[in-house]
Amino acid sequence: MNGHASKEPIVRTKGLVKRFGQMFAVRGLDLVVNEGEIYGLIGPNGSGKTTTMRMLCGILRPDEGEVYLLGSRIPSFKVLRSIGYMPQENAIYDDITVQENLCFFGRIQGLTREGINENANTILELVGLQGKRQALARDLSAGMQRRLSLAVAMIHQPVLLLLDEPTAGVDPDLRISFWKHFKELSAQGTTILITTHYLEEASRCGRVGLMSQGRLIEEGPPQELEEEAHAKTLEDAFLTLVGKGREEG
Amino acid sequence: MNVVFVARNVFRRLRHDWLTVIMLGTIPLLFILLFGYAFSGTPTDIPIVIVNHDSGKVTVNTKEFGTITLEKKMSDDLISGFGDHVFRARVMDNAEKAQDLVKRGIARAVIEIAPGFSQDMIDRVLSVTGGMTYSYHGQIVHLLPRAASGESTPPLLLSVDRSDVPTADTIVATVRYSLNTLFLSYLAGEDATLNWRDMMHTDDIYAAGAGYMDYYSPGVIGFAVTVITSMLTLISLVREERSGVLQRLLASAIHPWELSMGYTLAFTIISLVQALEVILIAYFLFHTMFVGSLLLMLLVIIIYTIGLQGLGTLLSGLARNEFQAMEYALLIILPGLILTEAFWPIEALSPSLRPLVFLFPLTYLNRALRAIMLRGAGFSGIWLDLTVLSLYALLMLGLSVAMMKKRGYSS
Repeated sequence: MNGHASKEPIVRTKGLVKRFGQMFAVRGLDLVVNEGEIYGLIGPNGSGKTTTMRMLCGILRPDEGEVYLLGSRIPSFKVLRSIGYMPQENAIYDDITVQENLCFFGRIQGLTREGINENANTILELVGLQGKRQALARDLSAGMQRRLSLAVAMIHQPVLLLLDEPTAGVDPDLRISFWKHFKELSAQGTTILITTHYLEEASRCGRVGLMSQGRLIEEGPPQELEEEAHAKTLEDAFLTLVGKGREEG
Repeated sequence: MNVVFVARNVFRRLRHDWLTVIMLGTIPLLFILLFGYAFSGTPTDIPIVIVNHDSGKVTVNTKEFGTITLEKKMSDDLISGFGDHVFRARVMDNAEKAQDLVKRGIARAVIEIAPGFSQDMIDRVLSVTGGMTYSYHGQIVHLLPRAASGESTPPLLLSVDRSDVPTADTIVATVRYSLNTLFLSYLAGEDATLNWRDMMHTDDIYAAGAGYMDYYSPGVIGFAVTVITSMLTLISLVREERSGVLQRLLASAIHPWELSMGYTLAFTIISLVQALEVILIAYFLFHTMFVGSLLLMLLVIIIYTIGLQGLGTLLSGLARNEFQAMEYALLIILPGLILTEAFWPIEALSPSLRPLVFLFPLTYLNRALRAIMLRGAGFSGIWLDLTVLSLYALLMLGLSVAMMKKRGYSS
C-alpha cells in the first residue's frame, strides 16, 4: 500500500467553485478529510457531490479554489497513483474479461503482473467475483459490473479511495460486505471519500458532509447531525437539514 | 399507433440534439454540392510541355513551278486546336528538360514535334486528296503528291506520365483528336481517316501500360485506411467517454500522451493490417502494378494514420454520442472520396474546388502511394508529400494530447 507520511489531511479543499454556464454546481466548498477516515458526502440529486468528486480526482478543473490531495496541490500527476477512483458509471471495458480489466487498470497504476494477481485474489473474493475471472464483463449482471468497477478502483491498493455511488445497484448482502471491507481498509489507514444515496450506509461513515445546492451545509459524525436536527435517524436529520439549507440558500 | 409514438419520439429526441439536426441537414447538402461542383467532366488545365521543332518548311511538287518550298507551320494549327482549357501548356526548346518536368511531377506530358511535322502532314493530305490548290505569291498553284518515301518516324512524340491514368488517357485522346481534326481540315470534304500511329508515337514515362485498376488501387488503400481509422478512433473514444472509462483513465497514473500514443499505436497497427490486405489482394488477384518499396509505403501509411488518429481524437471531444461520432467521421470520409485524388485527378475537378485538394492530408497520402506503387518513387520522389504528412501528424498528435490533457487536467 502506498504510504502518506505527513499529518496533512488526505483531502483538503479551499473555496472550491464550479459553474456550468450560469449555474453553480459547487460553491465555496471547504472540505477536510483525514487519514483513515470514511467520509460520506450526501445530498439530494444535483447538490454537487459528483462534481466535487470529479474535481478532486482531477478530471474537472475548478473555476475557483484549491484542491490538495495527500499534501499535493491538484493538478498533480504523482498523486494519481495513490488514488482509486470509481465513477458513477461502471467505467470498465465490457468487451474484455474481468481478469483483463483488472490487469489493464492495475498495469497503468504501476503494478506488476504478479502484484496484480496477488491483489486480484483478495479483491475478487471481496466483491464476490472470484468465479468470474474469465467472464466477459458484458456478460456480468448489472450488479456484478458495479462490483467489478469497485474492484478496478481498488486493484492498486490506493491510499485514498474516491467512490461515487459505489453501492448503487448492489444487493443488500453484498453492500454489507463492502462496508465491512471499507471499515477494514480504513483501519489499515486507507482514506475513503464516498458519495451515497443510501442514508443507512452514510450512518456507517466516520463523518458525513451534507451538500445542498453546491454548498456543504453541515458536517460531522452521523450521531451529531441527528442530535443537531433533533432527529431519530440520519434520514430525518437529512430532510430537516436540507430543508433548512434550502431556506437559507 | 405505437409506430407513430416511436417515430414521434425519435423527432422529439432530435429536437434536443441540434448538432445532429444540423449535421443531418448538412451532410446530404455537402454530398450533392461536392459532387455537383466537383466534377467538370473531362480533366482540364492539364500541365503539359510543348517542344516544337517543326521547321514549317514544306517541299511540294506543283504543276506550275515544279518543286517549291512553302512556309506552312502546321504544328501551330495543331497546338491551337488543343483549345485553351484542356491543356495548360508551357513551351520549351529542350526535350530532355521538358521530360524532367514530367519526372518531377510538375508536368503530365511532353508533346515533342519533330522538324518534319508539317512536311509529313502535307504529304499525307496530298496522298489522300491527289492534289490541292494553293495561293503561292498571289498565284493559284496546284500541289501534287510526292512519291512515298517509305517507312518514316512519326513526327510527334508524346511522352506521358501514365501513373495518372485518367489524365494520361485524356492527353492521348486530345492530341489524337487534334491531329485528326487538323488532317481533316485540309481535306476539303474528302472522306478519309488519319492513321494516327504513323503521325504520333506515345511513350509512357512512368507506369507503362497501367490501367484504371492500377490507378485506383492506391486510392482504395488510402480511402480504406481513412474510413477505418476515423470510425474506429471516433467511435471507440466516444464509447469510452460515455462509459466512464476515459474519466477513470484520466484519473489514473497515465499521461495523456501515453493514452493518445497507445490508441495511435493500436489503430496504426490495425490500419497497416488493412492496407496490407488491400495491397495483397490488389497485387495477387488483380495483378495491379507495384514497382516501389513496400516498406516506404507502409511508412507513409503509418505517418498518415498518426495524424488521422489525432484528428479523430480531437473530433471525439466534440461528439456527445456515437451518432454524432459517425457524423464527424462522415465529414472526414466524404471529402476524402472526392477532393483528395483518391479516384479522380485534380484536373477532373471544377477549377474553383481545386485549391481545396491541397487542404486534405489524404491527397498527399494518395499522391505518395501512387508515386511509390506506379512510379517506383523513393524518398526523394515523395519528400514533399512525406513532409506535409509528417507536419500534419505532429500537429494532430500535439493537439490530441493537449485535448486529452484538458479532459483530465491533473495528468
